[in-house]
Amino acid sequence: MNSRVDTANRVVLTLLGLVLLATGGLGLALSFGALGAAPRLLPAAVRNYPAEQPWFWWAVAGACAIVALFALWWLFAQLRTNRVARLDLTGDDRDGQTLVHAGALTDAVENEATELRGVTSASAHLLDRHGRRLALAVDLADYADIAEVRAGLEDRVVAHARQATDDTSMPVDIELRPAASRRGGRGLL
Amino acid sequence: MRVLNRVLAAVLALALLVGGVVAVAEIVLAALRRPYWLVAHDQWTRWLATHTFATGIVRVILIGLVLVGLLLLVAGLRRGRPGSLTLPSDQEALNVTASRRGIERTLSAAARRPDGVSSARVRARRRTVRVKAATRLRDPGELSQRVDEAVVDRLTQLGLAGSVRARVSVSIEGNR
Repeated sequence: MNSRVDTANRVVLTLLGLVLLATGGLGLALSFGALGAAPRLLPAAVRNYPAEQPWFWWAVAGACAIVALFALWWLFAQLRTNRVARLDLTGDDRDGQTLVHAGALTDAVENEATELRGVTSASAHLLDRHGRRLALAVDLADYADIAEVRAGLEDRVVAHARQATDDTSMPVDIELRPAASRRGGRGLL
Repeated sequence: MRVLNRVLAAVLALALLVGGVVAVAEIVLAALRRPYWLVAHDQWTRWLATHTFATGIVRVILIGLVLVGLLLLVAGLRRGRPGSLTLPSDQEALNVTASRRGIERTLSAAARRPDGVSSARVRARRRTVRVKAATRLRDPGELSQRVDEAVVDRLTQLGLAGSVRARVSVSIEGNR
């Protein structure tokens, strides 16, 4: 999941929560006579105001359109994953283009990771988040030596992935999932 | 919490989108002097003009708004337990984490290892892990210390011994 979307969700949910809480609280205060007798929901002055201001409903329509556009962006943001399908390794355009299917790289990374002893499965994705980065999730068996698996992942798998992308400083996120399975992997090393 | 927030966000976004589109459509239809599409605004205006804030249904709606507002505030502000914990790494541009559930599973397995432990439950947070082990022994003796050592050993393997503190308690089964 995209952490920026999660942060945006928290901010928007908090703001909407505050708005609803303030509206409901103020309405209840008016309802129970905190400011005198409970007023009408739509006083005559408010009811007549739009008729005297021809721009009023167009301004409301504009605000509603902005809210709808924001809601559309917010809805699509929930589905966004930042995954990259292709990797452009072109050094010089005059020599031609070199494109690598991201799946080829992530399959190779997953295969190499699952060959480590104690690894039962692995899942890799190439993401575009502040530049290119590799995300690797590794399920470990009960008996896995975590330090050994880490050394294998960091020294071999990550090093090979960086070598393959010709980017020795490519950021890599590894998530270990200890004791994810009781069965053994196909690890050989 | 992140999944709940995503579901809430999707539902609210959909509601705002539908509400916004319907409102714009109704305003445009009204400006063109055409009949309403979904919202009978003339009837709504009459109803709003003749009722006060003390009307029963209005109070119910206002209480509903307060409750939904509180729910959204809790969802937005509560941090909840982390999905994963960061493990120390000495390589640049390499971020290694362990899933919280994985940590709980592996610590639970470690806590069950000392003789006499019949079950163990673990809850991991950002800075602490709480281990509740159970034994059938009448006199657990130093079992708590052995469980603590096993848990700390596993935390050390993970590289978390310096940043996460273990709190171990052992209870006698049947006394719980």
